Amino acid sequence: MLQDGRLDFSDQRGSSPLITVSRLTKRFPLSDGSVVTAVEDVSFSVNRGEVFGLLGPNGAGKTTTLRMMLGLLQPSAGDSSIDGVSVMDNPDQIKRLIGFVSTSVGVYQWLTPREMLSFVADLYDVSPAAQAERIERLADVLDFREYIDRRCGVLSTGQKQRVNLARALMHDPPVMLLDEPTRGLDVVGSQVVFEYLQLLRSQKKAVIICTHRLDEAERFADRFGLLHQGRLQHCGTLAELQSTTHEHSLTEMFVNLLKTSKAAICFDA
Amino acid sequence: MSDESKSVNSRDSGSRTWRLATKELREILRDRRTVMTLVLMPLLVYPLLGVILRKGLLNNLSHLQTIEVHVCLETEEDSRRFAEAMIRGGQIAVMQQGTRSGEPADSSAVADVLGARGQPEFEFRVFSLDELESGFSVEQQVSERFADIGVKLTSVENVDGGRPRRGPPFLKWQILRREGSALSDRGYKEITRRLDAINDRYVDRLLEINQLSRVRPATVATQVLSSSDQGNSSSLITFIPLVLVLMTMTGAVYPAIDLTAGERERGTMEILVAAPVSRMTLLAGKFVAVLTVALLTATMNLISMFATLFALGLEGTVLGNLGPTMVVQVIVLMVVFAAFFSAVLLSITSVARSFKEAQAYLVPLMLISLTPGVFSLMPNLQINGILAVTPLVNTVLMARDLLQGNVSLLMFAIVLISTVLYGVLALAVAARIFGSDAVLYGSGGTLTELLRRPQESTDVASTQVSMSCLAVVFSLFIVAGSIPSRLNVSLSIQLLAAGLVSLFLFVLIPVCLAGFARVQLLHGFSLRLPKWWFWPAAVLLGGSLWPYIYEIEISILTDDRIEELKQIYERFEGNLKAVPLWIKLVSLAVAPAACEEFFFRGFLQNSIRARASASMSIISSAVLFGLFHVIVKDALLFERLIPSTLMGIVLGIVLERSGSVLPGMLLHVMHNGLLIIVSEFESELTQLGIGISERQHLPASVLVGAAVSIAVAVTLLATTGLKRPDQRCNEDGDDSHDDAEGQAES
Repeated sequence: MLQDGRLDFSDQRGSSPLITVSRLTKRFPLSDGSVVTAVEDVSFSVNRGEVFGLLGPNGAGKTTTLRMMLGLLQPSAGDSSIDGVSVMDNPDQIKRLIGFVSTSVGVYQWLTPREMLSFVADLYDVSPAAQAERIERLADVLDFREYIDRRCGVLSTGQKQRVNLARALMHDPPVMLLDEPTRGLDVVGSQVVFEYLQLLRSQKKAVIICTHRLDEAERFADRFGLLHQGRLQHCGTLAELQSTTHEHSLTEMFVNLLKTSKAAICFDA
Repeated sequence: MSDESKSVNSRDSGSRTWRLATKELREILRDRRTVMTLVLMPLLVYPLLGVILRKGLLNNLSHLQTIEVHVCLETEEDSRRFAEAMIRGGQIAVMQQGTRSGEPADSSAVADVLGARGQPEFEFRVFSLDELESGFSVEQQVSERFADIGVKLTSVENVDGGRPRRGPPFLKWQILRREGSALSDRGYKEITRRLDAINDRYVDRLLEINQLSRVRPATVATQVLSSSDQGNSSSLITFIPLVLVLMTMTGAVYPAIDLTAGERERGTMEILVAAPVSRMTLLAGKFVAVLTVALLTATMNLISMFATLFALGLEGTVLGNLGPTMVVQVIVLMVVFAAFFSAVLLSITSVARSFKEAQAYLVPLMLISLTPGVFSLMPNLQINGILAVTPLVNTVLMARDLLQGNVSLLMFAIVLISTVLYGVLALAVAARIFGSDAVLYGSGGTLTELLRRPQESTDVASTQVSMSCLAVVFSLFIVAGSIPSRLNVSLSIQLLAAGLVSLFLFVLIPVCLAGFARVQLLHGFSLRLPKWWFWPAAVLLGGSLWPYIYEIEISILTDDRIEELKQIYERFEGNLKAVPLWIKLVSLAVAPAACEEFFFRGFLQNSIRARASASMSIISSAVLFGLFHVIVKDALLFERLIPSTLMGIVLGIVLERSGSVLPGMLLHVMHNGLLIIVSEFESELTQLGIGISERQHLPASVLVGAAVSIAVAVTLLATTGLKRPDQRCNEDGDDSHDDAEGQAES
């Protein structure tokens, strides 16, 4: 299955990418007048049916990049577009094209999963008939039918996660952004995310997954971008990265990166 | 986007707002904490408060204390008789109580519960009219609150079998008590209790010696007098607005925090901001939900409050006489207040990142909100222009005045309108803050940056800016509008000052605010040269609309209203004649007309147009224009609403078609100027059959002439078909255009 997915991905590489991120930059002004550059000059693209792993340690700028792509943060420079729609020109349109999953995204305690999903569908203007049909389908695929009418407040972390994964798919977007979807989850929870990614791949969605768990990333993603201190240091398939960095695993590549970047910091200063 | 699809969108966003609101409500109402404040609090608080209130009122804080009742009688002889009867009655009552082994004096179960058993000491302070020589009658002494009880004694012929009786004469006691006074009520009860004791003793005696009489030593007749001073009679009523305001707040606070800061804390905020829904729509849903809960809380509180008052029999004491109109007015006021407060709460809690932070922000707000509550307890504080536009204070004072039954319609309208505008302003601020990345991720650094000037300039003011401006202008309009007439100068100077006030309100303030918001002044105020044919169209309309506006106005007016208006105008009518015509033209025609066009059409309508259809922008700005014309210094001239709104519609259409505020200005100035000239030469015109003050219809020739001129102008406007450069489609504009003309002509 995994192998199939990879083959699928390589077949698609020739077609035009669905997501194009070009020279995205974000600077935050601080209260003391100085400026922090969280993301600098990041460019990459993702095809349909491809899972792109945006990797980096905490504070590397992964989440900021995703937020800019989603139109939640105004980029200081650069642009991101989906299927030709630019986030700078058409932020509302962009939001319709993206499903967003993050461990920091919560649930409404006093609503049931069914109510919450239909609320989210309302936000995206999904017709009531389509809502009902999608909720049923997702309840089967993500296996949460058992507690679909229980209050979200009483669900376990794993159960909430399934509801959240379903939530992002309620409007059937062509692009999925996943920010640390496995944080705080056990092995079963990670497996659910893995299966979810397979599902997205099979539906030909373009997926970006952010994580700092490199072992997981190797299993999940088809192609990788190594982000460090706001810059995209390396980008490519595992094989491509191995050949450029002469390291075998992602973890080794990162350790190497951290060493060299210390020098870079000195250089910047 | 065409107007049609725009209106479909707005309908969509309406139903969407409602769906969002139902979700929010579902979430809030399932939370037990809300239900607690919503239902249990009022159910517990009021009965408890009521019991304490009653205890305090009736027992004068403690039953150990003596209750002092001032009693007024006519003569000193009567005072003596009264005193004797009270002493005797008191003694007998004590003896009776001893024998009957303590039937509680106050039979109310509540008094029992609180341990208010036993009889409080009464001290009757007796005085007679003879001593005072004030010239007041006993009735006046009571109603003017010098005495709590008045007693008039008259001798009654003893028809006791024709035999003369020994001992004191039988008396008819006429007891006068004051309505709504607890002390008077209590004193009355005590006096009758003692008299009853005397009567009972007498009957017992007669029974003992086998002689039964129809007539008793004291026959009681009671008369209830209303108090002369409304304000003080029901001072308790002033607590009600305060309690209601507090309770409305209590109800709204929790949902407001939960739906804004709570979203952040739960991590559900990102679901909302990641969705393609405008913040205003999200916030509108939340606003509806918070408002609903606030209203539910207020309703529950009212029900519980009144139920308690009725159960304890205090409704007369506290409420006095409450009419249905008053109740409706109070409810309207409460709805508006709840809306205003919900909006304010949302704007404050939107800033917060957590429950804790939100509560920290709200504590000062609650404290500030208590201050106006204290205002309502000051009986001598009269609502005036400034207080009527001061948030919170205006609502509380207005509620107090409403409950006391002395309210000016003008102030009521000002309070309502200003409160609504402030609410809109607060919502606009909330929409700017809620879910903004500065609050979400701290990208803007500090919060003050949220209110900083935008970096890029815009062509047209956003509705948030224009609505904020409207709120500011309205408040100042009320405050500054009355300044010229207060100046101690000649009428001419006053009129010119009024012109300057127009300039300040409708030009200076919008220009400043628009400048702050970096709105390009020329575009933002529709200051551009129109195509030449709009000038003759404006001249034609300016010269020919007045007969129809006049006809509409006299058809609306009733005879009574005309009398009222005459009285209003008569005050300065005479002086006005002495003012030179040019001053009248400048201050009543040129200045207000040009300035109003600048604001209502050039700025407001232009700003609404950027977001809404042509008809929507024309009608909404015209109605606002009409409302401003209803308020004239110290009176509400409702008959001006329809003509002014129609005028506003015509002016709005001219702006929509020409894309410039200038033809409208010309039209407006001409229109006002002609009306002034007509009234200036009224006597001359009366001879020609045009009598304004006699309310005559205009001659048909004038109307026909005006109709022809309007028709030409309409043709000019309609057929030239020039569209504003920044508009996409104005089909709607055409429709409303024709409608308005139809109305004006009919």
